[in-house]
Amino acid sequence: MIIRTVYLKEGLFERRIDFLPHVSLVHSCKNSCGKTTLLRFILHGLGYNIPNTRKINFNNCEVRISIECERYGCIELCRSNSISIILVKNGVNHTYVLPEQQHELHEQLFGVNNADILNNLLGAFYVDQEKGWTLLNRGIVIGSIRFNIEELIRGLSGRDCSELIKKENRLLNERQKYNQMFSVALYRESIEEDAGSVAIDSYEEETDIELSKLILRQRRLKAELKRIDQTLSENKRFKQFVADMKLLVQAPDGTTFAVTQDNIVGLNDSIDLLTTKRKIISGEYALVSSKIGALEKEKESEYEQQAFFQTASQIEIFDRKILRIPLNPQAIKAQQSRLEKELKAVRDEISSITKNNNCVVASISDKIIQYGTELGIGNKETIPQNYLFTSNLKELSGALLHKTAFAFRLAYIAEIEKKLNVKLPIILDSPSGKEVDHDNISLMMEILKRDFADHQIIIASIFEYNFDDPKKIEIEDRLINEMMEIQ
Amino acid sequence: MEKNRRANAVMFGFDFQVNAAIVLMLENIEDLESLRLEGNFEDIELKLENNQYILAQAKSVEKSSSDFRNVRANLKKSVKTLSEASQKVDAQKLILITNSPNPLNEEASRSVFYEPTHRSFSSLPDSSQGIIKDCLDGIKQPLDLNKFQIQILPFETDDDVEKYKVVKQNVDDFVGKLNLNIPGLGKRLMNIWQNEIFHNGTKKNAAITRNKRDIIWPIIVIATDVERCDDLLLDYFDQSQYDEIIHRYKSLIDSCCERCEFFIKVLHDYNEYKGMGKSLAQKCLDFALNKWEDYLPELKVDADPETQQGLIQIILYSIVRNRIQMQHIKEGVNL
Repeated sequence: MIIRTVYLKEGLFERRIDFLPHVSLVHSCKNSCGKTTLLRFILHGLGYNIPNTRKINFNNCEVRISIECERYGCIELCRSNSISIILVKNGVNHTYVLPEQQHELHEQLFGVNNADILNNLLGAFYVDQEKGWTLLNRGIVIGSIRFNIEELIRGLSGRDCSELIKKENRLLNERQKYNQMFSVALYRESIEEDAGSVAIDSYEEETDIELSKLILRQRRLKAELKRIDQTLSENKRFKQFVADMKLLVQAPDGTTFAVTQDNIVGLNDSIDLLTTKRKIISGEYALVSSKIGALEKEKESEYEQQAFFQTASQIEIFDRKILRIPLNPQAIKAQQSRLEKELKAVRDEISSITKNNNCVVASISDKIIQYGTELGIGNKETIPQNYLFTSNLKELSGALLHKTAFAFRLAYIAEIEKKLNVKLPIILDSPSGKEVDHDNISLMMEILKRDFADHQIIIASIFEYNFDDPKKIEIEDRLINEMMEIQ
Repeated sequence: MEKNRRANAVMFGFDFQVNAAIVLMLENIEDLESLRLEGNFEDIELKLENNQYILAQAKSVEKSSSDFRNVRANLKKSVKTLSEASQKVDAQKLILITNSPNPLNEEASRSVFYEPTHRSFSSLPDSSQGIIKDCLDGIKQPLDLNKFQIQILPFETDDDVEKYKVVKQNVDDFVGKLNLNIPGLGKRLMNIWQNEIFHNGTKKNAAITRNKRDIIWPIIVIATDVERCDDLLLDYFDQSQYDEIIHRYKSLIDSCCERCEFFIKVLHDYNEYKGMGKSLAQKCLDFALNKWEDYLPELKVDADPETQQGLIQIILYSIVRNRIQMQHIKEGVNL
């Protein structure tokens, strides 16, 4: 695949940049002029989800890229927003929605339809200024785009692990949940320790208890009121009865007088007493009833999640709710280790399917050893066959890591070309960073010149490189610098 | 916010008025006929049995110990209203009752009003008398200064214990005089009075009269509650046994004490009972302990003999004791 021209437009400014099929150097004398921005514009224009640079927001710009690909010949891509891209092939426009249709778009560009390969192409041909020179076989290429060697190898060798990967994802998901549960369980334990007891009533329970107490009290008061009413009416009837009898009694001193409702000892007092008692109890009854009403209302709104119980802070409620969940850290731990074992088994299986008896692995490894030897990283004895899958980056530092990353990329590109017959462009952002000395850079460039002469090479740097007849793209002050002609 | 603050101030004013009424009522309980809040004439109106009135204006200040900005205005308003009211009824006393310890906003009288105070006009320093006289200027028919009094009722803060401490003291003193020996009576009584009277005070068409009966009967209700065991009875009953019987048979006991057909009979028997040379309380206890078997046929319950006996004894004791208590309290307050 060869990038022919890139046309950029931002507001009233535009720029058209032509690239050569072999080497193009994006150069500026100073830093922060827009070299990296140009490279990222290219990737953005190819349909990748690339982060902006500080000065230019991609969504405000239009990018048109003409490319020539192995499979479909000349294609033009036009992108002016983050959610879609237009591909013009044989004069016909095709619109792709991103990122949903990214694979379909890239299938047109690279002539490959294997998702495992498409996902990992960018990591092979583009070396970011920041992340790129430390990325060997797994990690972030740029933004949220990742590279994974196992996936690429499976794609290239046509081995399918999608079922196993699904299983792995499921297990990972489960493990994450168990981890969350475990931390909740630990939190729960700490609350328990603080509270000094396991048997803390939950809010609902406390309210329910309070409510049933009140209801019981209400019932008792009601019964009492009923009894008082009954006694009152009996006493009043008795009072009337005595008055109607019209009795006359004689006192010891001989005086006679009539028995009336007012001279029976204790009768009126008992009525007064009952009346007052009734008043006090009905006051209490009203109070209890209103308390019950308020509690029920509170409970209802808590139930509907409109509000929390007012009697407690949200933290207290949260704690109590957590306490109600029966969680046993030991049991969760057991589940975690079971999952861990299962996960390991699945991963081992994936890895063995990926690596065992795989000529792609051997071929890439050979290339890495070859380039590693040339670059002075090591030799056949010191670089093991499975170094391709290493996860030990700590032992590599500075220029060594830089060169290793370079060797890995070239090995990938060579393998992709061999397998798919696609000549990927090689886009390097600042290959001279990291205090790599001139000799090392020369070694790296020699390999490019020798083995990748028919690949398009785009290098952004403030340094000059020794290529035969490269196209030099100078950037002065700003990338998009030409005023549009107003027609 | 402003509205809220004003509403709170209004509530505070009501609260003070109610408690001032309680204090004035207790001070005059023996001669009292009825009590009226937000009455026709004044904030607080006490009608006495001799048909005279004690009229009071209750003026409260929320931050009474530091805020004296409105006390003079309050004084002026009060003497004006009291003057008008004293023309309409036969007033025995005309009182400005306030929680401000400096009701005249004057250095000379500050120390006079420091604590709960009752000061007649004539007992005030000359300068204070002058201030009050100035307030009467322009009133056509000014009040009789010989009847005028300034009374201080300390009443401040949001803390109920602090706010009501003087009111509580008054209630406790009153209960003490009745010689009832009931723990917690003062507090319960204060609550009942506050809620009972306050409830009426906050109604829109506020004026509601409470006669002496309404005020005194709650004491009798509390004093005759069977749940409280008299000390005298405890010599014969185990507290737990007493509580057990009350718990199981409270409504039966209450019924017996309240139903006149039954208690009249018991009172009659008690009257016939000879308890020569014994105190009233002792005679009451003797009666219950010795005569219980007479009521066995009427009060047969499904219980062991001991409980059965205790139940009847408690009923008999309570009926007679209640009668004595009622009489005692009514005499104490001249009801």
